[in-house]
Amino acid sequence: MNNTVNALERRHFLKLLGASALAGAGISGKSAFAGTQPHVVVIGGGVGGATFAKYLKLADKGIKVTIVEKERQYLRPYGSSEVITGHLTMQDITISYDALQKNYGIEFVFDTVTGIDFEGKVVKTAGGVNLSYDRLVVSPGISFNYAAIEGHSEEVANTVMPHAWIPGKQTELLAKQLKELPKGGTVLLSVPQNPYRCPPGPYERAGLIAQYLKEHNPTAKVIILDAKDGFTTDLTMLQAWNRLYGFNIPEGFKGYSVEGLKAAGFTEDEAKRQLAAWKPIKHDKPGMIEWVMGSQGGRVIKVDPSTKTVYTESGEYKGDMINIIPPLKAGKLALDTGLADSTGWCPVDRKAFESTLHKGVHVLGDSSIADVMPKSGYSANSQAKVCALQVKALLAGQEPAEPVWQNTCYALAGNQTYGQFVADVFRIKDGKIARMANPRYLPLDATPVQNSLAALYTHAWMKTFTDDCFA
Amino acid sequence: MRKTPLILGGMLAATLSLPVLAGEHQAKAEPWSPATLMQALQSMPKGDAARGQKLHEGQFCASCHGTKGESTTANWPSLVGQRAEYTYKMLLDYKSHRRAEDERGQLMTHVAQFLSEQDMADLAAFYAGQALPAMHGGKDNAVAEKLVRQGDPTRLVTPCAACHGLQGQGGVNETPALAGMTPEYFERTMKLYRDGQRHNDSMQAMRAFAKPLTDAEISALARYYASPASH
Repeated sequence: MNNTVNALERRHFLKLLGASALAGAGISGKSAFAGTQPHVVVIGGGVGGATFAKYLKLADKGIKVTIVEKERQYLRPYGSSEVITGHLTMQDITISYDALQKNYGIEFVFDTVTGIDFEGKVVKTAGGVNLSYDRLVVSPGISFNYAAIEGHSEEVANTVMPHAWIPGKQTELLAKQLKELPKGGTVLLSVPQNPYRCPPGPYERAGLIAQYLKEHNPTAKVIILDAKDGFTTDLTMLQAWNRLYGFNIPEGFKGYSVEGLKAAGFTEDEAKRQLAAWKPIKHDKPGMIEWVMGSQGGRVIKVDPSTKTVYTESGEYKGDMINIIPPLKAGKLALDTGLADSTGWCPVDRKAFESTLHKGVHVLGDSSIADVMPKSGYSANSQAKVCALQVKALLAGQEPAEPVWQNTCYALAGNQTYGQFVADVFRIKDGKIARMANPRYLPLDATPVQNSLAALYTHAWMKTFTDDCFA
Repeated sequence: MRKTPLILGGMLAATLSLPVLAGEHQAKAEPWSPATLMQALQSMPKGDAARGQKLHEGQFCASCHGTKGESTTANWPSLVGQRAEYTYKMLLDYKSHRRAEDERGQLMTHVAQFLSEQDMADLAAFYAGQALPAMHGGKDNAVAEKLVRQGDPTRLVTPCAACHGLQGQGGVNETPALAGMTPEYFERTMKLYRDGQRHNDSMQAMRAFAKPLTDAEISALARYYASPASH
């Protein structure tokens, strides 16, 4: 009982947080900047940039907000793996910028940024527009480190071995490859080392593909070539595969132990109870999904597109459909303008996500170094909401407030009715972002209703979240 | 008791939009007749409240309806002290699609597919076994006081208390208790009855009573039945 109360209190707390954070920072019809309209420029109209612009306008209509974005429409990455399996179309993941312009008065410049004059506080575009700013927000997403894999390139990704980790033509290519997969063919899917966008995403994609194959090509298989030995939602995802796809839990996987469950936020008693309540099935035959972990040499080091071969630290794999997700780094704009450091990501002061390399510039979402906060759409949205209030305070000459962020990653185990999630609350501890101690996952003895609702929530979230960011 | 993470669902609850999943496409059941409803209620299994509590905790019910069914948010109905027959009938109606008035309803339709009649009776017993919350009543609320006690014969509105009791404790069979009901949920429900979008009331009774009511009257009634704490 008391534990449930804790959970509820936590939820109540979050509700309060959302409401009071906005109220406290003065969401109202009145502007604090009458007569001296400050200008905030946002580069990137993804989740981070769009949410930031909308919430800054909600916080103070008197601030002029301009988004510079090169594409006329947004393709949402979250949930885009469902396009590969045909559950969604490209149209379903296409989002218009109309509502942000009409409903909130956000100005858009559809153009490519060619440079930032940090001293003069000016953003320059290819079309010759110069935008002066009082504060700049950059939310440029991710780019791909093809050079980390021998033989790989953008050209290879566009034609033979797509990543489809930013939705677009590669998503369609992957969907086509899946449809045309020979009977009994092999799908290879590689996962990079941390950090990368959407931690459970590659595994959700593997599960979705397995589900598709179960229906359309049951002798085919999916081999995951991984640089790591574990992943966010691994406890519940591997359990689901064990149930759905004849997947045997690898011996090297240590998650199903008291220590493993404690690391997921459960108490020792709770861990013991769960481990007693659920035992993995031992399947006689290998299942549809094979997971080659990092410690088994799963990390991809070389590809040969002409023979459709992938070389890992431990061997070589031939595939009929090859989805290579290369190691990632910050978005190209962040790299080109010197906002990233030698790690390939952008260092920020956690409180307001202000760049430590360039004052007056805030970096949101995947490009930023946010410690344990994952590179997810939900994180970018949460960071953007907090940052909007911090930027408003900074423009008014006030100190930024002590922030709290949250994240939930929903992931389908494969089919459309078996879902799971990870849920976290974050605060700053010793200058870095830390996770609050709480259970993060569904328990191993979650009921079928809970797994089914998690899938339902996944799809409901896609819609409500999109509205929260873009409408 | 288990410590389970709750989904951080503020946005979700606010604008819940649910896709219809496979398996939920079955044909809608026939509306209840007095005879079929009586038969269904008479064959309701004996409920086990302790088992009901376990179900409540293990199916995400608490996420929306509170740890014991005392809804803590504006969006969802309070279930504590509810008549077992009403809860049981609602779960049957969700499962059979007789009750599917809006997107929120789809969530319950989904959950109910997993429940047996015994499960439903056990959940109903768990909520019924708890004290009925207090209600604000007619203080400073003459509009509602009159509708509850006298109705409005000119518009064929029967006094609410005739069926739901003077203390909002509910009546016979599936006639629900209303005391302590979340006011937002109460208003929404009355409007859904009034507009005919909710139509699982037997004999179309609530649709008929709600039809002549104005928004202001519905709002007054919502305050009447709401717990004093929500004022």
